[in-house]
Amino acid sequence: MPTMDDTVIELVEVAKSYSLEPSPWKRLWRQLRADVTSGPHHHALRNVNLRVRRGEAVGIVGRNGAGKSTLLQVICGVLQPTHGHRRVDGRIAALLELGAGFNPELTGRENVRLNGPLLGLTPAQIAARLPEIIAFADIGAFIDQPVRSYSSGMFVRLAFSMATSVEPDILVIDEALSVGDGAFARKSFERIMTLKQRGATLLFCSHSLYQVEAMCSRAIWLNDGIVQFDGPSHQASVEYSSWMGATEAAAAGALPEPVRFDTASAAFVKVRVRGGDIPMRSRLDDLEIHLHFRSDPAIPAPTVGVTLHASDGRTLSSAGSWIEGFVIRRDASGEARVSLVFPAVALLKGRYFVSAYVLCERGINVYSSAEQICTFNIVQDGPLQGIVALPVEWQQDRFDD
Amino acid sequence: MGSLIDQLSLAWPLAKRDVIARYRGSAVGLVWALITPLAVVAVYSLVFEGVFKARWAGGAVDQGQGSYALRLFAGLIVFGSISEVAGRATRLIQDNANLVKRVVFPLELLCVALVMQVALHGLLQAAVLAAWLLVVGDGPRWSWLWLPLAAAWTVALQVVLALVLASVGCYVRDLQHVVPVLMSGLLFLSPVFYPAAAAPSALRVLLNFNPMSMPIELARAAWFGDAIDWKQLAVPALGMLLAMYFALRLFKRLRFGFADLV
Repeated sequence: MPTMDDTVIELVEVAKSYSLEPSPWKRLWRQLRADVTSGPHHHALRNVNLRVRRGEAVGIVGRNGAGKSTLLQVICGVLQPTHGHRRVDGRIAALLELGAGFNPELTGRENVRLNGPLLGLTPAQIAARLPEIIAFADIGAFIDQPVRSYSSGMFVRLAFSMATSVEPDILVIDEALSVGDGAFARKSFERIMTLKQRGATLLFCSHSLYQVEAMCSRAIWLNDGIVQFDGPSHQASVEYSSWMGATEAAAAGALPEPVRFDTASAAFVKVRVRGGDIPMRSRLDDLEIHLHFRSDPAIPAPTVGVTLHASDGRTLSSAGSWIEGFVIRRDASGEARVSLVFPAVALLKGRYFVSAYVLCERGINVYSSAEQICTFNIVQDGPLQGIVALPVEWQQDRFDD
Repeated sequence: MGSLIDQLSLAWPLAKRDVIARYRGSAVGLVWALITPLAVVAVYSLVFEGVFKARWAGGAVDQGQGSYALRLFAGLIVFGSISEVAGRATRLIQDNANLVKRVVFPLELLCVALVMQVALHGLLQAAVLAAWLLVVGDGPRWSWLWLPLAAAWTVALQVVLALVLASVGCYVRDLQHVVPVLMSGLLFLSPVFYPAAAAPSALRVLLNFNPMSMPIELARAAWFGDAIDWKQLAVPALGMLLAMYFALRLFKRLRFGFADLV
């Protein structure tokens, strides 16, 4: 036995299947005999081996129905694996569903006090944490109003504040970050990062490849309940998106619906391509994208990201001010104008889209999203095919090679 | 033992949550916990005493005004609380589906919290009965000291029923429909309207097998100072302990399937 084992989560050959047995008596009988494998089954997870060390941040990506949520539920211990072993050391805070157990008729304060047991907190422990939970949720006088009168944002704030108040060793998050308004999303992210810095292990499942890559150094790609890839998150992202590209091309879908929103933290005023109505000449003209946005002057200077898309929606290239280390200066009211230049743009003839985002200073939380906000056209001389002109060199090789 | 106390302190807020939520927004609130059983007592005693001219059979001598109603009330408090636990337990897991599927906590707490809520109502009703007896000058008596024993027995039976019906009810949904019917039948097959001693021998066999008979009889004996046959209590008490053990084992075995079913 090793003396110090810092593995906090260990799954050995874990499988989870759901019985499709229609007869309740047969199900009851099988459960009583602890024989849960016979009869027709739907397999949600197959042969999953996973070892997570203390302090690791692991992202889980995959399509809907790939088994991401099932995996998290098995790790949390809500679901019992059909096969294999699960070992977890330490206190888990599961952000699988925020505010489960909240009763709409009770006030926020009552709900926090009375749902403490669901987090394993005794009344005395919850009473000690109550002021901090209320302060973090920051919903003002609403704390003494019935929860049914809350906006969904307020509900999530209170529930998140409560769920993360327990100083967990392992934090399991299922898409919870995508909720709440900009300012709170930022605050909740800060709290998660603080917990991570204190050594908490993080398990994070999201549709957003980008968020997983930004927060986690390691990622798991699940498909049909099978681990397709487990390794560095940037590599997982490549594997997953190329596979997605292949399957989606087969499905031949239309352009995805553009996501456009602003938050209290930041909002785009204008995004434009200079001379965008005139076609640009490939490898001759500069592509200049001008961005004008407003932001809350109280928050740290935001960053800006731009992606270029082909007419079928595929992402061709991207740039982020935090990646290139460009610091955006704002005026006193929080307004900023920046531009991004692609010198002698190497794209080939065609129609292209620009999407732009304002993000937090770490480039993780999206404050404002303006997808497919403008288009531009490229023309070229000559019959070169493709979407991009990569630098080329021709050489004469000898015949006897 | 320490874990039992922990469990109780964890279940209490959950019970409180449900009680507060149940009466929030109603004008008289918790008073409903009294109005309902008192109305039932009024109707039953009107019918049985007023129409059928029923008298409380057996040894009790002081058959004054309202005595039938009081004895009926004493039995109904016990029966009503047991049947409420049984009825609600069959839906307990389904009603808390989001907790079962999404939150990691000992699910037995749901059963304990259910019993606590109902016990709170029972306690209120018992207080009203005590006040009523004091007003008509029929108490206090020394035998009231046995009331905690009757209460403990009732709670033990409630816990057993809650564990069994909640876990099996999650698999076999028919229980939701069967249990209420069964309970309204059992009201007449339990010694609520009559003492067990006054029952004809055919019925007596049934009463012996009805686990609710003991706590009902025990509670009434404690309230009204009837003789308690201690020798008769030993076997059912042992049975309760065994039932508790098996109910817990059953629940712990079946709970692993809950999240798949709700």
